[in-house]
Amino acid sequence: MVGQALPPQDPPNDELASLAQAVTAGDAASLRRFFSIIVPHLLRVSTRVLGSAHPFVEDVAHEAAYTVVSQLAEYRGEGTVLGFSRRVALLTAMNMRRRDQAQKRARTREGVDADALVSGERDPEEQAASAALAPLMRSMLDDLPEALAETFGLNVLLGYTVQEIAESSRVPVETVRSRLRLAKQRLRARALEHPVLRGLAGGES
Amino acid sequence: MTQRIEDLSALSRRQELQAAEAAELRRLLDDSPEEHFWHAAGCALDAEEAAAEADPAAVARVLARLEQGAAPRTRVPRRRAPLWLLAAAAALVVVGAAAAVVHVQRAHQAPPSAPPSAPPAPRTALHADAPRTASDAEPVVHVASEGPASLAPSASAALAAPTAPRSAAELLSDAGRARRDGHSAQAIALLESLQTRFPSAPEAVASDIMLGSLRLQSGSAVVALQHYDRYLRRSPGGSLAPEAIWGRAQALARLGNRAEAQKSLSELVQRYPSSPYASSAKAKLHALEQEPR
Repeated sequence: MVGQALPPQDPPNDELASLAQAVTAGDAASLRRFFSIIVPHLLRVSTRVLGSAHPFVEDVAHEAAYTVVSQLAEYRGEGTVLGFSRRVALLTAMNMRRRDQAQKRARTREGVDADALVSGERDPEEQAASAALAPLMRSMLDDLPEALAETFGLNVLLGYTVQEIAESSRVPVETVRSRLRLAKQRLRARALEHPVLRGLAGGES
Repeated sequence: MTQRIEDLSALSRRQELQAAEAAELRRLLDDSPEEHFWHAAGCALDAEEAAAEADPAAVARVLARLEQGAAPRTRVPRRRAPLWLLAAAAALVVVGAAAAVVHVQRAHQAPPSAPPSAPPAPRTALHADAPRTASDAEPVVHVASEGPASLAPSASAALAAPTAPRSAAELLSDAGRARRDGHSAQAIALLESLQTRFPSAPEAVASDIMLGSLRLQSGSAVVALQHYDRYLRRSPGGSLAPEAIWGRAQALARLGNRAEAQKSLSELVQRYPSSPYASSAKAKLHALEQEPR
C-alpha cells in the first residue's frame, strides 16, 4: 500500500456546476445565490492564510469572489467549482501577504515599526490553539516562489491531496509531488533555525 | 512514501481515513519526524479554525458589498471584466442592497447588522412582483447550520437514507465529501444514517469524531461533547482518541467549563505527547491558566 497513489476518483459530483453556468450566462439571481454559497468558504480560506486578526480578511474574500466570477468562463471543469473558488481565495490571500511583506520592507527602510502594520494574533483562545505552528506556516508562504507556495498552501494549509492539487492547478501529479518536495526542503531549513521547531522538524536539538 | 503520507495526512485532517489507513499514517509519521512536523502544522491550522466561532456577520458584510457591486478595495487592476459580468453586476445594483439584507436575513434566520454604507432598503415593484424560484426558497448561506440539540439521530437521517443499499464506508466517505463541499447539514444527516444503519461498524464509532466536529462548528457544544464522550467510551484507546480528547476540551471550553477543559488538555498531553494536537494543547493550557478566573 505504501507508495501507491490514490485510486482514481469518481468525477466530482459538482452541485455548483450548473449554477456556475447560469452565472456565466449573466443571470443575476444565480450570481447572488452563487456568491452566498462560496463566500463563507472564501472567508475561511482567507482567514487560514492571513490569520483572523488580519485587517483585510474580508477584503480578500471579496476580491476572491469577484475574481472567481470573472474567471468562471475560463474554468474547464478541473475538480469542483468550489475547489476552484478556494484555490482562487488561496492565491488572492497569498498575494495580500506578499503585498504586506513589500510594505513592511518599505516601512522598515523609512524607519517605521514594521510590526505595527498588521497586528498579530490577539485572541488568546486562538493564540493558544494555533501555538507557534499556525503563524509560522503562514509566514513560510511568503518565502516561497509562487508555484511552490500555491502547492504547499493547498496541501498543508487547506488539506488537499496530491491528486486534488493536480486537478485544481492543472499540472501533472508528478509536478505536484516535485513542488511539494522542493517547498518542504526549503522550509525545513527555516524551521531548523527556529529553536522550538527544530526538534519537531527532525533536526538535532 | 512521502506522497502517500501527504495524502493520508490530508484525508486524516478531513477525518476521512479508514481505520487501517489511520494505523498506516501513524506508522509512517513515526518513521518520519519531518512529515510529522508538517502533519502537526496542518492540524494546528485545523485546530485554530475549529476554535474560532463562525462569523455570519462577516459573510453578510462581504455579500452586501458584492450586492452593491463595489469593486474590491484590495484589487490590483489587471484587465477589464467581461461584458457579461458587468451586465450581471449592473443587474445586481438595480436589485439593490435591500434584497441583500432581506436575503441574508432569510438565510441566517436572524437579522444581520447592515453595513454602514448600505443604502436604505426600498421595496421596489421588482421585488414585490417577481415570482420566486425554487432555488430562492432554499437557505443559501451554508454557515452555522444547526440541527436538533440531541445525540439521537434526527429525522434528517431518514432524509439521507439512500435508495440503494450503501456500505458504512461509503456513507462515511460521502459524509466527508459533503462536509468538504460545505454541506454540513447533509454531512450530519449521512453520519446519523450511518450510525442508525450500522451501529456496531467501526465507521459508526469513528463517525462520532466528525459529528462532534460538525456540531462544534455549528455552535452545538453540548451535542459535540456527547459525541466525543461516546467515542471515548466505545473506543478509549482508539486511533482517533487524541482527536476525541482535543474535541472534548474544545467543547468544554465553549461551555465555560474551564476546569474540565484543562483536565482534558492535560490528559491529551500526558497520554499522547507526540500527537499533532499536543503542542496546541500545551499552549491552550497555558492560556487558560493565564485567564482571569
